[in-house]
Amino acid sequence: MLEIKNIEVYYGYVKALKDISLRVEEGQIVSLLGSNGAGKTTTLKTISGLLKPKSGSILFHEKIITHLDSSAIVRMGIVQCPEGRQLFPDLSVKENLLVGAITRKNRKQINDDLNQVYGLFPILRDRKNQLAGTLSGGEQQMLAIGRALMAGPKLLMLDEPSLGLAPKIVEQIFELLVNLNKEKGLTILLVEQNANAALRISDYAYILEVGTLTLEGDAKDLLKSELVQQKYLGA
Amino acid sequence: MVTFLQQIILGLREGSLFSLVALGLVLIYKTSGVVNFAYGNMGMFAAYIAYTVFAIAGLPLWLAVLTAIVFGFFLGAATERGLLRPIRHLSHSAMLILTLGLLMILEGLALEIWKQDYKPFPSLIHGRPIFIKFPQGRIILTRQDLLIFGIAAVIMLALFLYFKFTRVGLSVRATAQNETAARLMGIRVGTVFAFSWGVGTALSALAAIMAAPRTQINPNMMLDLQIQGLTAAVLGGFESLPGTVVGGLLLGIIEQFVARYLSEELKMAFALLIILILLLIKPEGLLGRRSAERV
Ligand SMILES: Nc1ncnc2c1ncn2[C@@H]1O[C@H](COP(=O)(O)OP(=O)(O)O)[C@@H](O)[C@H]1O
Ligand SMILES: [Mg+2]
Repeated sequence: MLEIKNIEVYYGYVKALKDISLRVEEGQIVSLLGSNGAGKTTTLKTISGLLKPKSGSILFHEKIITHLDSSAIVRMGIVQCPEGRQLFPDLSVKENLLVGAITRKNRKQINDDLNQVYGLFPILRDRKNQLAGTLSGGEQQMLAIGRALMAGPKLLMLDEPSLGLAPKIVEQIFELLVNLNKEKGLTILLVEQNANAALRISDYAYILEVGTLTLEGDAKDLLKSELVQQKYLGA
Repeated sequence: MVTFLQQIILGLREGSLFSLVALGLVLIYKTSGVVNFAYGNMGMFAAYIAYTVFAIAGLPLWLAVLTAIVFGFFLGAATERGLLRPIRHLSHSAMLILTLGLLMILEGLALEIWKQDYKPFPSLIHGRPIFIKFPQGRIILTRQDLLIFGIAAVIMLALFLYFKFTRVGLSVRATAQNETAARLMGIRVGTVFAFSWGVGTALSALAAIMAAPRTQINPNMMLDLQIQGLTAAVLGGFESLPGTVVGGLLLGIIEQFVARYLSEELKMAFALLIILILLLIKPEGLLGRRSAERV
């Protein structure tokens, strides 16, 4: 579904991604793991079109999307739930969700999806007229995911959705991701530092270290691998 | 007490024009992050267009006004798209300097095309002035004064409703709050920038036309209003549209009192001083909140 071929990404003269290639197959949950500063966010930003690679290409359903701008990429169904949530703090919860659907025209479908998101996160329905900035961390993460779902993603990319949240809420969110994947067939690219939790729900995973992919494999195998255990799972 | 009330009414009369000017400045700043120093002169240029259509081409006044406002919209949108967008990635100050350059270019261009002499421009409506009688005297409000007040009120309400309840309005507000997130949701932020520059500059054109009967059309006609609009925006916290409107009205009243009780000539200077002191005490503006959202 998504294929990244040998991309190199720079911030000014500093190379942040070196020759990265990865694939996400339709219907999978794929994790991109690595410690702080490894280049995970840079990778997602590049897929979303916020950063342009100096070389290499990105394909979605076999079509090259490297040159497209972010709005065109969202319209193709690649939607990102960004690091740090990046909500619109002075818009209401409902308005945040509607911004998620800004690329879509069909009002009835938007309304149906709004109700679905409220179904997934009943707390958002209760708070729909509250400003997003007044929500708790967990609620904000739910809103960020709900907003991304409102765009009607085919591929949902999440950048550290567990960051700064209580374990119980993290569990809840990961469970939701599994359900979206199993029941709706939503393809997910999950960026995490919390490797253990991410590997447990993933089909496949890549490990990034200072801008280079150092390891990849089936999530189950990586979970068992001693090297991964030592380096990333704190065992 | 009654003269006090009189001063307030006169202050509101001036203030509604300040509000109109400030609204466009704030709209442009909130969405694109640029304080547009050329803002007043862009309106000035549009006023010359109105003059050309009306006095030189001899077309009806309403058509001249409409042409100038539409011209203002496209001038604003084209400035953003053609001049500012290409240097957005450079730095914030690069964009500020560009608007300063544009301010001077427009002034020179207007002189070149329309020459030195001031051009008269008619009021949009005529008719007997309105007298409001008080025991100690009366205030005279021209129909144009009332029109400015009415148009300002209608425009502000329309803008408010538009931004609150339409998809485009939602896109503009989202972009103003978090440009990156807006991009990630698929908003074409470039279009949003151009649009808000267009609407903002159209407001400047409208304000210039409203002011024209008093100032006459000349290259410096918007100099004071640009400063007053900026001051009103700062007073309102450079934040929300309603706050900006209140900032403009408040500035009108402050200036009126300074003119009445201190000095007519120094009213702008004194008003600025008062605002400076206010800002020292409350840096986020009288009505603003502390936030570091934009720039
Ligand atoms: N806007 C930026 N400008 C310059 N360097 C950056 C910028 N953003 C990230 N970097 C650098 O790029 C590298 C990768 O960062 P990032 O993709 O955010 O890592 P991660 O998401 O894995 O923590 C880091 O060394 C970081 O310092
Ligand atoms: Mg990151």
